[in-house]
Amino acid sequence: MTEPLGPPAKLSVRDARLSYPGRGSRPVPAVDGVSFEVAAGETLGIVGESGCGKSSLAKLIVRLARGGEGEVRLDGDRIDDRGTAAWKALRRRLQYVFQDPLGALDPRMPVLAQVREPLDIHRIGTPATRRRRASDVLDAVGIGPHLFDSAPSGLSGGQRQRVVLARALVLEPDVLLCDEPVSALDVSVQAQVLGLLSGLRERLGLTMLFISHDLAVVRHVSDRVAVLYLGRIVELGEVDPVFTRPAHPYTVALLDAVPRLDGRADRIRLAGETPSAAARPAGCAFAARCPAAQDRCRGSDPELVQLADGRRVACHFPYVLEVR
Amino acid sequence: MTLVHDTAVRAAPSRSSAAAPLLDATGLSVTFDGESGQVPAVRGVDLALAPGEILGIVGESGSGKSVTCQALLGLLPASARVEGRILIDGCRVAAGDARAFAGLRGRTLSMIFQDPMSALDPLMTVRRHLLQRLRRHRIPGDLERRAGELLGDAGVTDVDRILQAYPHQLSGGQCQRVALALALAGEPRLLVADEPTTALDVTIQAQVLDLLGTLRRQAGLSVVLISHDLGVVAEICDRVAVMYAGQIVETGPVSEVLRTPLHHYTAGLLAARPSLDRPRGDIVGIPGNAPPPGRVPEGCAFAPRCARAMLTCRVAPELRQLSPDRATRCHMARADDD
Amino acid sequence: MSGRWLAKRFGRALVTLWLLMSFTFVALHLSADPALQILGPEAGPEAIADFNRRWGLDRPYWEQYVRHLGRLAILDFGQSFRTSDPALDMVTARVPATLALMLPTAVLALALGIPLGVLAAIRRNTLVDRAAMTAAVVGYAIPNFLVGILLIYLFSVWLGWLQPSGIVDWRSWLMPVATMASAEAAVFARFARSATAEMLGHPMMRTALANGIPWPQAVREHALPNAAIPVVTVAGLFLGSLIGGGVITENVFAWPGLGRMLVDAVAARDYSVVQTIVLLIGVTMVVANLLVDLAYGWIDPRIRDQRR
Repeated sequence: MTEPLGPPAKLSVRDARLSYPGRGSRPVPAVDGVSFEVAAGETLGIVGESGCGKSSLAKLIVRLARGGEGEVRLDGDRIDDRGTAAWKALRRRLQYVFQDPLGALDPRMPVLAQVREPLDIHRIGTPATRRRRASDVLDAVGIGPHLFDSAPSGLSGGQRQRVVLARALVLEPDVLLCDEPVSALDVSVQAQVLGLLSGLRERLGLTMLFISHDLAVVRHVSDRVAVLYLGRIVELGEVDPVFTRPAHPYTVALLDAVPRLDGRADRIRLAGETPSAAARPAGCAFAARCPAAQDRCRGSDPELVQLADGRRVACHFPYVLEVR
Repeated sequence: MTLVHDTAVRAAPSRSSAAAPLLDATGLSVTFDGESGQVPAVRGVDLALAPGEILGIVGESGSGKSVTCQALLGLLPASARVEGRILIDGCRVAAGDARAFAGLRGRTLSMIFQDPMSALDPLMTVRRHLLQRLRRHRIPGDLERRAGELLGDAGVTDVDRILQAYPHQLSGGQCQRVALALALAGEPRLLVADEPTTALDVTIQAQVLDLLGTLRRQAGLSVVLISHDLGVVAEICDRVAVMYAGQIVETGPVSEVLRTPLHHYTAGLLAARPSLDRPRGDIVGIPGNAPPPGRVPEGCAFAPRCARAMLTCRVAPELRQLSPDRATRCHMARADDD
Repeated sequence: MSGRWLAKRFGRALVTLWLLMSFTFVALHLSADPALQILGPEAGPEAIADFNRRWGLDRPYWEQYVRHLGRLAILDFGQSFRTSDPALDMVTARVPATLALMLPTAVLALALGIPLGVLAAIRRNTLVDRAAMTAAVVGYAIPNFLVGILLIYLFSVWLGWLQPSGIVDWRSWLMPVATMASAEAAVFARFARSATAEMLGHPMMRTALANGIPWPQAVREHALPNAAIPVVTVAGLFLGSLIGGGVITENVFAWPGLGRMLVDAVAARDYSVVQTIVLLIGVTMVVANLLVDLAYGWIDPRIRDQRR
């Protein structure tokens, strides 16, 4: 894998691994060797179904999960092996947005106070400037001054998620990690928040990691996308090629499964379910469900290799299909 | 475990217009007792369903879609005031008469819900669940075998293992299949499915939607499918009713409604939905928020958020039938706009 | 379930008992001098020195501690300072009286409290519910000794119907049992109510109803068995406190059980008797805990899988 020389990627992850204690003595690998890079100002989408490890990956990067392995670098500097004090300074540059807005906020504390809190904790500016900065950020996400003293329990889902965004952005981070940020919202509100996110991203030059199970949403916000299956990346590339000409059979099936408005009749249907991470089959993990599986697939686990158009696929027989 | 090509996902049922409707609910209204007075969650909803038809109900939170469907089964708490009349498979029931539903549930109509993992009793095996339902409906014959058949019909492959399993040992998709088998144990003619696939992975969702289509084709099952996702509705529904603020704002055949919506809310939903078919970046949100039940404005409930609101919208519009199978609750028909 | 889990629980039980014994030891030795308590304030210095030497109380504390643990290890519970009788015999002689009081209390508390709580949950927010919960709060809030004294005043002093103390005939049971059962039943009622109410709102009830299961059957077959889990915990722990739970009541009613013996022994600083009773209480608690854990695993398949 030859990368062109230049400034290091904004965020790079190399061979990330995270296991949970399983029944008996064997740990269950949730993240099983994931590597990728995100350039400054770019948005990388991460998609996958349950058990693919996307949430665990996010927690690993932000060190919310214990026991993670692998190298995580911010602007080329390793952040995974720093002590608590250094990490606290780094946290400013790497912020995390959760899925459940009410769970991420104190339901009773006024909204302005919660957005101010990170500034107080990191002792940025003076109390006067902190208040102003918090109100500026709230304004930027579309929360008007009349709501500053409201508690999250009195706000709608969309408003809460805006507050969560504001709190993440008040520290002016370089990188924003969003884990299913719009999944709990109604469609009409989801569109509002996605629009807001796009606008902020451009204005602030944010680098983003956007995790979601919703392929259409990911396609909408991301520049590149990584498809995860059972803890590993199976396809990684720019959004348009991956979504219009998917190379990995799982990506094909995933795209086909998404309900379309035209209700096309002829589609690939994947049978069965994702195998348990505790009992990872030998060879390619997807072989059991793969329509194109051959003997070689069951015998040997494919590595992530680069295709001609710059995409990476982990498949012995990747194909390029037009999505019907 | 191979590919399953399904070439006829949505076969439109051929029915004569003279066929008696399986379900005909008129004037459904549900009012709850709130802290500051009465809260009308459903305000005058009419629903009709022919045998073998799949009706989709689309709406966002607060639209009243779930409450409407719970009213169809008499599952609302005693403190709720329910009005309206329901004709189901020839039986007439007053919607507010809770006791009348006892004989209908499970036998004539049944329901599955959104979160499959918590729909089952954690202390009972799947087998005990099925036997309980089968005994309740006095299904004759070998119950053990019938339980296995029900699971098979619900698309379960390793029936023996699932029968012995407890709910916490099953995945979301498997739990939903079990819930479906339980709902069908009494051989109901109508199944109400409240967001049955929202909590499931997209590939599993596709399997479950296919399953519902198969059940309709092979067993003549009619389905009322609630969803917030227009794509899901487009997949298997014949007709769709769009709900907003406790009322139906548009009905019609699915393909027509999605192609040419007649209500601005429907159009707004379509425009807000990121789709794999449309170019990236092409989504527009609907400004504002849906009014919570009990705080619905006078006049057209959608007017505050509607870009085309006019003065006439201060008067609450009726649900107008614009053609034999399309209706909309809007003073202006959308057909003439862009 | 795995032997490893069982071994861990057993190990923890031993540590708990050891901590209990140590704490009792320290508490006793830091308080007044047994010699003075038992021999009286007029005892001369030689009598005190003899007493201390006889019972090993003149040795340094750590040596007494080690000897004490050593004796316990061979199940030697020592002798009473007052009577020189073996402490174990004295204690076991009183156990039947305490059990005779606590077992009917337990049965009554469970038989009254749990159904009351379940009924309150089923008829939530109605008069039945509010009345039951008010009664429960009252029963729980008024201290045992006050209830006992009030009952004595009412039935012994004023009405003259019942004997206030000791075991005379079957009527001697009425007041002490009523005193304790009221408080315990209150606890059970509140627990049973909240456990049942939570299960009544569980989605599995909605599914059962939607599938045509009548409500009473759904409550019987789904809500109640699930609600039993937290109730079993509380009941189990209550059973563990059977031996020591009657201390106050036994003293108010002069009931010849372990509770009275404990209070007397503490007042007299009769070390061995105190420690034996405390150890007995501790063991029953620990065993009850263990039984509750085992019952959990038996009832709830999720716990069973976790422990594998």
